[in-house]
This record gives sequence, C-alpha cells and structure tokens, in this order.
Amino acid sequence: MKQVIFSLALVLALPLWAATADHSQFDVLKQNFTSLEAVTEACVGCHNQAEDQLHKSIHWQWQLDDSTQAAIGKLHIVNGYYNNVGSNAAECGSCHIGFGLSASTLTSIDTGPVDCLICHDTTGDYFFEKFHQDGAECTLCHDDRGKANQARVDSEGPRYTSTLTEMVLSVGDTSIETCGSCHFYDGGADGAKHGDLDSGLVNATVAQDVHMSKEGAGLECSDCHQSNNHEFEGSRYSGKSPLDTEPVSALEGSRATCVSCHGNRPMKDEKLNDHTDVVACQTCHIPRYARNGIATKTNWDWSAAGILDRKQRPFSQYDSNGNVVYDSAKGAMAYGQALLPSYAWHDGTYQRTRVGDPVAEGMAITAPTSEQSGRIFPFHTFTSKLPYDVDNEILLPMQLTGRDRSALWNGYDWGAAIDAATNTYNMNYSGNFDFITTLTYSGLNHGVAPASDALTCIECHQKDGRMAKVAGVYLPGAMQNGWLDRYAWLIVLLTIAAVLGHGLLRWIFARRRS
Amino acid sequence: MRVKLFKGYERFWHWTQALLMIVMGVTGFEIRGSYSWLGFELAIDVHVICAWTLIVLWVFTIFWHFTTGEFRHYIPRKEGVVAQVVYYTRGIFLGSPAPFHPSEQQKHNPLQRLAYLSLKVFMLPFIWITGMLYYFYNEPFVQWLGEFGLGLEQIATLHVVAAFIIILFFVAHLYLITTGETVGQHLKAMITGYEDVPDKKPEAKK
Repeated sequence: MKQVIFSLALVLALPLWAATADHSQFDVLKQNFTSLEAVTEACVGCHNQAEDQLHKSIHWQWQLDDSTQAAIGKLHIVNGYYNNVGSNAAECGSCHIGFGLSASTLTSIDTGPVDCLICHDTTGDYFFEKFHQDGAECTLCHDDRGKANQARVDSEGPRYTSTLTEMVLSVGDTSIETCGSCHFYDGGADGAKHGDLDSGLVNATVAQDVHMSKEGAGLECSDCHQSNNHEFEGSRYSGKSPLDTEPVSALEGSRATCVSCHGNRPMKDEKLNDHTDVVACQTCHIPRYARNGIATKTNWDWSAAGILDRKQRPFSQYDSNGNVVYDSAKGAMAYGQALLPSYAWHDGTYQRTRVGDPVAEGMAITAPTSEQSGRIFPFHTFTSKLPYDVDNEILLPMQLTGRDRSALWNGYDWGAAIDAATNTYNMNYSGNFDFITTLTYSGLNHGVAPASDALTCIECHQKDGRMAKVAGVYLPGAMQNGWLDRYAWLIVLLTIAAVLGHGLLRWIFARRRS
Repeated sequence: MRVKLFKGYERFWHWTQALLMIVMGVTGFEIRGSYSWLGFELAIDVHVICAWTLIVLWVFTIFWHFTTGEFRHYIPRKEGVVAQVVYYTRGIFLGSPAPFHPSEQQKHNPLQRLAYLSLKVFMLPFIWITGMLYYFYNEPFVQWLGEFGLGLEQIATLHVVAAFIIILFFVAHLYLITTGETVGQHLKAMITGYEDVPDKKPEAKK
C-alpha cells in the first residue's frame, strides 16, 4: 500500500511541476489560425525536436522499429475489424497523427508535419475538426455512415464550437479524452474494438475503473503510459505486463505495468499473493469487461455487407440499444456488455497475421502465443468473417474506401473491392474469394474494478470454473484427476460393505448360538 | 477386573484428534471440489486452522509418548498376530474367547499395534508432509521439488491419496471398536479410561 501511495504521489505531482508555461500568454500563438498545418508550424517554432521524436514513434510509424522480427504494427497486420490499412490508407489516415496518408501506404509512412493538437488539445473540440475535414470517411467511426449523428446535429446543432485559436491558446497535457478520441472510437463505434476502452472512462465511477475515475486515483492515460521523447510505454506490440513479474526499479524507465506501481505481492493475504507468479493482476481485478454501459463488438460478419434496399441504397439496422447490427457498408455485427473474459497464457508476444498469410476456418489471426509460459491473462475474444482466397487459402485485403466504384463503400461489390485491393498490394490472387471465420484475442488491461469486486476464489476454484479451458495449471477445487476420487470412493464403499457384512455375520452367528 | 487403560491426556488427544481430522476431511474434500458447503475460502481457512492445531497437538503428544514411555505400546510384536487374524475371521463368529485382553502393560492387541503404528509412522506423516508441501507450494524449497516432477498437481494428488488411506483406516477403526465383549466396551474405555477385562490370574493357577 505504501508503495502505491508513493507512486501515486509521484504521478499526481508531475502535472504540477510540468506547468511552467502558460500557452495562452505566448504572442506567437495569438493569431487567427485558419489551417491545422499553421498550428503545427507555430508549435514547432519552439518545440523544435518534437516532430523528430514523433516520427520515430509507433504513433507515427504504425510499425515497430524492430528489425529482429517480421514487421508488426497496424500498417502490416490484419485485424478482424477494418481488415487492412494498405489499400485504405487515405481514410485510415484520419487517425494518424499527421495530416493524412497517401492512398496506398504499404510498407512505411514518410515523415511530415505532425498534428500536435490531436493529442494536446484540452477543449475536447479539436478531434471533431480533425475527423470531419475533407477526405475523412464518416463510415470508419460511424457504423451507420453517420446517419444517427447527422439527425442529432440537425436537431441540436453542433456541440463543438471552439475556434482553432482558442484551442491553441489552451493546449496542455494529453488526457483520457484526447487519447480516447482515437482509441475509444476505433472499430466503428464507441467501445467497439477493445472491450476495455470506451468513452465511459472519461467520467468513470470507481466501480468501473479505480484508476481513471476522478473519485478513484484520478489518473490520466499518460500516468501509466508514460512517455520518453514522445514514445509511449504499454503498446500491445511491445507489452511488458507479462514480463514484469517482479517489482521494477524506477531507473528502468516507465513501464505501464501493474507491478511497476503495486509490486508483485500487493495483497494483505499471502495466499492471494501466491497467485501472482502464475495469474496476472488483470485476471482477478477485471472480473468482466465492457462494463461502462457501452457495448463492444463480439462478432462482425463482413460477408453480409453489400446488401442494398429496394432503391439500391445502403441501409442500417439497429438493436434496441442503438447499436448498428447491420449496415450495407459493414455487414452484420453483434455486441455484448459486461462480458466474461477468455483466459490464456501470455508471455507478451502475440502471433499475428498479415495480408496474404495462410488462413484456415476458425483460425486465431491475433492470439497470445500458446506456450504455457508467462502468466494467465484475460482476453476479449472477437470473431470476424473476413475475405480469403479460396484457391490459395490466404487472407485477402479489402478496398473499403476510395474515389471510384471499386471501393466497397461506393459500389457495394465485394468482387470489385477485393480485385482493387489485391492490385494495390500487387499480390497473387486467384480471383476466387469467399469468407472465413477468424478469431481475435485482445488483452484486457483497463476497467480495473475495486478489490471488493475482484474475482472470489470459487470463480476459478471449482469444476468448470473460469480457468477450465486453460491447460497447464493445477487448481484445487477444480476436481482435476477426478479418476482418483472415483476409484478411491469405490474402495471405501467396498470396505464399508465388508465391515457391515462382517457385522451381519457376527449377529447371525450370535443369534444361532443363543 | 477394571483396568485403567487410557489416561486423561491420552483420551483428550484421541478425541481432539478425531474431531480435527473429521473436520479436515470434510473441509478437505470441499477444497478438492467434491461438494460445496462452507464455500472454498472458508473451507481453506478452517482446514488450515485445524491443521496447525493438530500439529501443535502432535508435538505435545510425541513429547508425551516419549516422556511417559507410552510409545512401547506401539512397538510391533509377531506373537499373537496370527491368532488375532484367526479370531476376526473365524472365532468371533463361533463365540470363541478373544485371544487377547488388554492390560496396562499391553493396551493393544498385536493387530492394533500394527495398525496404530502404521497410522503414526506412515499415514499421518504422509498426509502431514504432503499437506505442508501443498500449503507452502510456492516457497523456493517446494518449487525446487518441481524440478523432480513433484509439482503442485502431484503434491495435491498425493495429499488426497493419503486422505483416502486414512478414510479406510477410519472405516475399519469404527467397525473394529465394536468387536469387544460388548459392542460398546471399547468405546466406553476410550471415554471413561477404564475397561473391564476378565480376571486372568485364577485361570493361570489352574
């Protein structure tokens, strides 16, 4: 506990120390900004190393600068939501920290001006400007192509009214809102993708998230995901959480792991502490996910996309909670709230899948490497039907967006959309496609519940408990090796029968004697 | 003749141990997952508290055995074993006199000696040691055993095997105490300390 208080004190004191500059007093910022690029020019006039730093970060490169393994990062891998960046880069670029990507960005992202405000705006309005400029694709963030929001804006008027200059004069530290403007809304809707990240975290209750709730620790994302030279800790592509099983010295730098603040034996009950070498903190302390009243996607069937209404127009269908369960641009989607995680051993590495990689029915395209090493972590599991090449049995890219009718969201024709995307990737495609079910594992790290809501023993320590599908771990109470009990109780019963028989004979003989 | 067989401490030890072991059996099989009654967490707490209590009792009892010389009652003897087996399998039905009668010098018949000795030097240490390894499974000295294939799973399984062996002892024990002159004779002795045994001396003079 002392360690936590000390860490918290350090973390919470940082913003106070950092506030040595009041940007509203800088004359260079008191100008009428008319373009986003002009804002960046003003920023880098003083912060002249910032762009260089950011160009080296995963937020810019969308891949890891790590030559030891095959390229990973969103630029390269296939995920079950928006399949691939390469052939859709112009629109995927809405979430890039620059000012857009060129239409086909296959192997790397060139350096260019960095959009400072997307992370450092404190008014909460900037992301709206950014995402609703020319070229941004409504459909990426709004599963119904923005129809519900359009109706709201028509009746209520816009919510975002700050001018660029007002935003610039109030720049500051990143916040849950700024990080969330990309990381909460990816996957097509609020909370759609990660399961443990949604806009509910902005005003979370303690029960929803002890760390980010204002009544709880009141932390911002960057308190755990600390940065050095604009490079952040805690990416899933280089997660340290499974590796940190012992307390880590502050001299090692920022970690974004539970253990770095709490130590590896943080509980009062030493028997509970005995779990921490095998069970990750998250496993007990994130008892369920998508708990903020916002649903996360559990299934996405892309094969159903492309159906148009009688007037040959795209249409949307909603469930009773307003979730989009069908859209012509997206296909069929299913949702869940307060879900039970799946559990698996995780050593920090994921097996990932790239465009053109072999695929089989039901294959996990993103999954923790399944060796029984590391610790047992909770995961959000998500199924998705993705296009594949029937003859070559490889995953295919999609052309979702673009200027001509070949893009799925223009022409609603899968054949054309896949032809165009495979052309962009210049890959060997037989021309014969179908859809295949894939599985995605996504680690759960946010939405930590109060200790009183953590899993109780019996959740796992019973037959068919939460760990039932996890191999290589012995749980008292789970009746493993149940064959032993069956034979042993049989022997006990036979013994009881034998002594009762012996007693009965004694009684019969005694009666006959008398 | 009334013989004082079981001293006060001996009876206290026997009944406290009996109670603790029954509670540990009941909670132990709940921890195993055989049924749900107290709840896993409480079952563990009760099981562990009983275990430490029993260990303290054993320490005192081992001390008692050696300071009073009572351990001599558990030294095995060959003579009389066969006669006792023959009695249990034949004589007891025909109403033959029991081949052995307890005295202060020999409280237990030759088979009892063997049974109780095996309880004390084999069954109880077996469950005691596996239980301690189970409880301290995550300490370095137990983790080290894992390198020889004795991990938590193997330790827990052996602990359960030990429990079943003791259950078999318990069944036999409960039945055999009914084989005295009367059904309740032995039980009464363990409660009051005294047992009525036939007066041997006149027979010896014949």
